[in-house]
Amino acid sequence: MSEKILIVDDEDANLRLLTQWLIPLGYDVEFASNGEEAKDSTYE
Amino acid sequence: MAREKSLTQSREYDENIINTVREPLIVLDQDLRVVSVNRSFYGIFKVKPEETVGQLIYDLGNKQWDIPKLRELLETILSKKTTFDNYEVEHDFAVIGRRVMLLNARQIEQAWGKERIILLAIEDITERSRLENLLVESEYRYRHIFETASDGIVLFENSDGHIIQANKAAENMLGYSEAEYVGKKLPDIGVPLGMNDDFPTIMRDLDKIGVLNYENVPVKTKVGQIIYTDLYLVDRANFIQCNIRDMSERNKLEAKLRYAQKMEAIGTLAGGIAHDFNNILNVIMGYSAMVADTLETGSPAKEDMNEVLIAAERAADLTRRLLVFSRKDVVTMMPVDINEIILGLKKMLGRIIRESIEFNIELADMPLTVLADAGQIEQVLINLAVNSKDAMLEGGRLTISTGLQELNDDYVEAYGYGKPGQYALITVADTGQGMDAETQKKIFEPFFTTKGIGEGTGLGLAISYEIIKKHSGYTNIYSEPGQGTVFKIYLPFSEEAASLEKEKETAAPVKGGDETVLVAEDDASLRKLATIVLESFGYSVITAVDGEDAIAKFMENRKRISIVMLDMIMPKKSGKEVGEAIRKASAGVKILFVSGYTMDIIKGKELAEAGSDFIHKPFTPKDLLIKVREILDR
Repeated sequence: MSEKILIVDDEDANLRLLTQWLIPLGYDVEFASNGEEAKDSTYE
Repeated sequence: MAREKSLTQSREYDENIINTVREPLIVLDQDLRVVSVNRSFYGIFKVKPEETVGQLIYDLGNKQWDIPKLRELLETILSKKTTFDNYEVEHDFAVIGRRVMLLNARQIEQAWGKERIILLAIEDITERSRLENLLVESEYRYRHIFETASDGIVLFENSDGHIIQANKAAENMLGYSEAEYVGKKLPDIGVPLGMNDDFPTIMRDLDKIGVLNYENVPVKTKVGQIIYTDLYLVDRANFIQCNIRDMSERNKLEAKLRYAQKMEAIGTLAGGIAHDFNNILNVIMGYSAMVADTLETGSPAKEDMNEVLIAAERAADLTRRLLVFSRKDVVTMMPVDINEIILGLKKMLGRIIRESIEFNIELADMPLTVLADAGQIEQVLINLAVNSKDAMLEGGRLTISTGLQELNDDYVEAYGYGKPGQYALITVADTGQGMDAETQKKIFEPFFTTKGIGEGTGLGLAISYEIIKKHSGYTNIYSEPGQGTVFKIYLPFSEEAASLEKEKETAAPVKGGDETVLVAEDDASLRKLATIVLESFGYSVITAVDGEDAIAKFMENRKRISIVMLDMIMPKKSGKEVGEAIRKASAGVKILFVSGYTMDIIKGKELAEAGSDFIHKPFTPKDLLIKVREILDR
């Protein structure tokens, strides 16, 4: 199981940039657009 | 009666004489009983007249005077001699403490009564003796300091400047033996103080001030080496003391400090401007690209815009390289095989060097794994190769070799740096013009360059040095003018890392594409994930939030859509229903079903049998990308 990284950014462009970077390095990613979403994600 | 009277008179006369004598006097009869003492005796030895006269001398002051050396004087020595001078007696008196005394003794034959008397004059030399001891001690201390000082010390006459003595440190520092020092003057031993013309001036100044100090004076040793020293001249009455302090070590440390400060300044500057600078470059590059897109391929204006883009990229690259000096640099340390890096660079290095240069690679026959940022190590190798090329204008040979090297304690001792252990050693050797020691010293300094204006930034080697330092490695240079140059780079060998590297190697590459994907998914966060992931890898994405929306969006965009990603369970229409509807409208469309529940899996099996693809939740972005690409490439 690869390590998962939660990326929090309200700019989709930045989410895309990081995804482009992290996936080839073997990481799993998850996104949140704001602090609230990020908090919910970490509780799951 | 007359005789009685004259006797009394004579006694009084004697008493008067002895009382005028400042030092203590004591008169004893031949049985060593006290006949008389002077006032000074009472004063100094704190005894009372009634306890003194008529007493045996040894019994004085509660037998305080029972001194073995005194007995020896009175009983042994004076039985053979009538006088004895400067007899030294040291005694600890109960009342007045330790005293050092010089005794002068006289035996006097008295005409009257034919009795012999002994006159003892006592000189208290306690204070004088103490001062003498102090002097001896002080001389001893001075001698000790002189002999053990780390400063070279030479003493010379203040009259003519001839050296009379030199210490061990001076012998070691300048290479002359003490015998060689004696009789010479300071200029004869390589100390450039004007001992002929200026000597009187120097002596006059010294007389006025007491100490003269000269800083950073180049002194030539016996073998002709120049060492930089601080000199101190100290007036020591009959002679002058000259301290020679070797400052080489301090100068070296100062140079190191200056270097470190320079690096830090560049780092701070780069770190401070990099962010803003890159933002500006982003604007330049972004708008240039936009403008370039509107121009006809092959038009002169497009060529010009490309030049702008290339220049902006070079500027970005320079900022990135300068960041090496700051702590803000992001270094991604991964286990890498040095040999692999060099093999990967072989083509590029071959292009960098000219055809007139023979290029050899000699790699160790084992993998040399180190924890490193491969990109940065590549940069170091490129920098070194460029340097070698520039040093071999007439052609020559460039050899890059690797090996495993142990840095043992002896090495660390000999070179004054390093942590003992196994190192991957990269040697970059050229047969170029080489360089002298002075250039070698400066070669790693930022902005130092031997190249002409516009040919080099003077940053290549400084950056390389800094990169290797960040990798806990060492850079060494061996060169002589005309003899070529050898750079040696030591990187800590990592056995542990070698296995990790293999795991990484098995990771499958992720490929993207430029097709359009319809993503039908009712869960907003999953929809976003799929969208972002697919977009990141170049796909265009159209989203739908339920089954009906999915059918509507497909109908609107059917010409563009290459693949539809359908969640099995959605409001309004299930994935299966949507799939059937889409197939009806456009038979050849590719569909990827996403299943999340056991129920779906059963349905998924049916679908799979019907030739459809599916992916299980939860899936990683990578799984999705691989799956989508695989289906599209079929």
